[in-house]
Amino acid sequence: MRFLFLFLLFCTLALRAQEPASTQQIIEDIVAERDAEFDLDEIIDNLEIMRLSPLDLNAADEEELSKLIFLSPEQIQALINYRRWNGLLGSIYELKAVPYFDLSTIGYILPYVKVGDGKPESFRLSRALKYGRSQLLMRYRETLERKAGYLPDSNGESDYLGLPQQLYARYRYSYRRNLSAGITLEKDAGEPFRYGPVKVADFSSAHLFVSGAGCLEALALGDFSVNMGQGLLLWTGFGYGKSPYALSIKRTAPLINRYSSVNENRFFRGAAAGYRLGRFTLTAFVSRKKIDGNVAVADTSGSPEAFVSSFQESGLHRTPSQMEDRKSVEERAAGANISYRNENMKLGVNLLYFQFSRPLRPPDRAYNRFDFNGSRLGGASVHYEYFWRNALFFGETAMSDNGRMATLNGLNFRLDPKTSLALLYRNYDRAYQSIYASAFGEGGEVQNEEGIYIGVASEINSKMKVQAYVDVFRFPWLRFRIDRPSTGREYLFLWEYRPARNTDIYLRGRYEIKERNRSNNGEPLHRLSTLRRAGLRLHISQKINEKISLRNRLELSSYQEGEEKRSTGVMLYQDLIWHWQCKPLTLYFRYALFDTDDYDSRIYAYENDVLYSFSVPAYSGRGLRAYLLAKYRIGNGLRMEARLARFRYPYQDEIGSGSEKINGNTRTDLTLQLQWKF
Amino acid sequence: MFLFSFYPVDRFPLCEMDISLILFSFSDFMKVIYAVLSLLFLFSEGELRPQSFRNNWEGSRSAAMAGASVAASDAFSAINNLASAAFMERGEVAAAGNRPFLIPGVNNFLLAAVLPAGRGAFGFSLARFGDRLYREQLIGLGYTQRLAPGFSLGLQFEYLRYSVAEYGSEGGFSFDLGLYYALSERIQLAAHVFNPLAAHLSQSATPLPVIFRSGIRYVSSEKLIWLAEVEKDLDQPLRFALGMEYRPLPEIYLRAGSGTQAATLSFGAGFRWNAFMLEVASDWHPVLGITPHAGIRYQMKKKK
Repeated sequence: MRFLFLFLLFCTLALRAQEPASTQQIIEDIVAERDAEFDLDEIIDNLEIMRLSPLDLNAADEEELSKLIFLSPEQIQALINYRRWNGLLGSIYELKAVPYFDLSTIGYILPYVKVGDGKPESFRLSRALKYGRSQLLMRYRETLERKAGYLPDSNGESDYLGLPQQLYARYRYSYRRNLSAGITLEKDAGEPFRYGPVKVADFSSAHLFVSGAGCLEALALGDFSVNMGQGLLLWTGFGYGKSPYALSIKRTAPLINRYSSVNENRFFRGAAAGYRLGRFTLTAFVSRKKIDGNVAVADTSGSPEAFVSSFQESGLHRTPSQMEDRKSVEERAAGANISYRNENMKLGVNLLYFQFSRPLRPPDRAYNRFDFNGSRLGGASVHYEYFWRNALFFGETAMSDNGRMATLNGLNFRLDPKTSLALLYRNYDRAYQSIYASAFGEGGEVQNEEGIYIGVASEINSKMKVQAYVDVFRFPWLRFRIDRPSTGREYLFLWEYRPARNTDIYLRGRYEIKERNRSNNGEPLHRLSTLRRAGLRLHISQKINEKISLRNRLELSSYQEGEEKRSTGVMLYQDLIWHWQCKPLTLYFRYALFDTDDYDSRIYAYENDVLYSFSVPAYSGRGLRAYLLAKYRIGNGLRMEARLARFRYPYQDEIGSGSEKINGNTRTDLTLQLQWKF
Repeated sequence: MFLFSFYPVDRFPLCEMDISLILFSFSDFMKVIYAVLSLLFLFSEGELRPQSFRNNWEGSRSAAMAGASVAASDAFSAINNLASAAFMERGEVAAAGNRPFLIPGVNNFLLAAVLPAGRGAFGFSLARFGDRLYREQLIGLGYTQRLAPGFSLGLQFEYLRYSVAEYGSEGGFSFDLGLYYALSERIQLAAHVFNPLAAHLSQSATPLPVIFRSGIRYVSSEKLIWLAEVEKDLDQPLRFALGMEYRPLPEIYLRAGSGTQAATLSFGAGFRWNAFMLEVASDWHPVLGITPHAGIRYQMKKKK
């Protein structure tokens, strides 16, 4: 057995040496399987960096290991423990002896890791300037059909101020994991180039980020992201919640990280620094940036006061009213963290303070009675992680400045070598307030929710794995469109089967029950009706040879509100991926057919896209979907990618509504991207 | 792919109907199949598929197996999924006909041929439905190429035409794409889409159907073959079909199958006589009754 493993590993290594697997391809395999919202930017960047300077498995800490998205929190912890009890890894082959590490995981991480001497890499600025690499990326994207928003009305004016092209450009200089500096510019479709003295992109971002330089854990100037604890207080990076991977419930991310994404709200702009003192690390940041808000003026008691009725989070500035809201509020933020860690334990205390130039005063509704309003918000939290035998305890408890609390406590527990359990309890007070928080939960906000989650994963044999979770939750206060306290539960089942090395099959079922306002009555306070949503997916992917891969899926969906008629949907797709060995060209092709009764029974499917972007569009209505993506390496670090994707609804005369409406039954998106590494 | 699958290793057939999942794990294969067949039959609605160019042109072999044909390799692959014919060693010519529900005037005729050539095969098909008063016709010509061991893609162009007495006729072009992959000697997978771009007949804008099928062929033993597939016509509910072909004697084939959406049970037999195969089949609709099928296939000599 051991011999066989070594042999296989050797084959894999030999293969990799011959044709380095493209980072994108591996990630897409992973992301495609999970169908979750990922910040691909960050993930791909991290992996690209590690591919160029592999991570030393003997030195990497938890945050660094978590950048290998192929690893589960359990595997990371297992590796750290293994190192602790057995000393440093002697060679890459020893990974197989680490609990939870299977051949496929090892295969995934191989290109990004090495077994070194366990000493942290020293960082010198001179080397960084000499050996760093530059990357320039330019992207163009456009919907070829004209949307109503671009067409002039009777007055000769159109809803959208700008041109329909989405443009994106980015430059980055980076050296290993230690140094990154870059600029990002973006203009969304329909946004104008702002006319001032010069033409500028709608969104621009710049950063300088240094990490791992001696005791300086992190230093960020310009734009950066901050992730604290489990996200109850603050989490601006990407964080996944419930996923088909039932055990992945704990969040792990570097506290301070560079920011180079294009979300126009969830980041900080200013300075941040983290300094290590023995087992303690001190981190602090300050930030000031302008955000979008709907400004109104209230004239109470004779003194007019400008306030914000809501923050606009879409980041789109296409119409005159969106332009009006643009950067109308100044947000100042400051935060600090002290953390302590030893081999078994991690503890942290977080402080956070926000101030806005204009107070937020949302219209008074019952459901937002306990939401944040005013111009100042403070909060504090403590978080912990404790590893004891085969259990990992973690959690965070936070309090906002109104004295209300939110808490999350979880446990990953290995029952036997084949079976693991995850447990999580969260209780977010209805009046707990936060900004840019994002934690495990159903509701999307860290507020007004209590729930228990149980997940289990079991390896039945080397070919078969089963995962399942149950999440039971309640919302003690009203929510948007839910006029009473409500409850819900969600079940997921995932059966993975790998009959051969080149074939992966999984069957996934999901069932969710929630409550929502009953639609058809005139009562001011709605009664609730039960909403049932179910989905079933069968997915088969196959690698025919080094050149050709196939993916195929059948998905069924069902949606029922109260006793009303159930709406159902069905979707089938066939993917064909052609990776030429002799030519630097890869083609991705999909043909899909979908038929859903309405938008409620829509089906989401992951689609391949140009590097650093991806899409998970909703297939709804009755129609066809096809895309062709070509990736071509020109040479000299140049890479060209093009994608043409089309929806066709043979039974419709128009697509979409309002300014996004298209007259006709097709919607075609063209994307071109050029990447240059030098 | 291959959405309706049997796994030989575990004998773990699985089937879903509607949203509720029904997962069988009996070790006895036959028992499961019997259960699946009867459930498919019970749950499906008896719905007809009455629109243009949705005819029983699957050929006399698959007709006995509820139309499950996407992964089958025979002369009728020329119309069912040409890619599945890429690995045929001998050419085959076939003719078949049927009379739906024994109604006069709605006969279907089909002529199909697969001719191996180069690294693949040519496919030719000619099909007709109706009589002098109303008629639908199809002429198809395509080629399938082997692109990797066990893997092939097929492309076929069709000219479709319908004529209504005293009103005239109209025709249009369409094409279809197919894919076939032999995972092993025992399991083959296939997918096929007819009219992928949702083309219309140009003048009247009569829509041509868009039909996506994906299926599996499982060779249980020398004597027994299973065919299963899922079919989605953009305009119709999802359809499952399952069929089996049993060969008790080298010259005799017995076939049976069941499908949903027009819930039918079908039976048939084939008799080999030298290079000829004579086939009969009938499928039975609970409301509309019996559709008899008959056909003949001729297998050419193997090329030297």
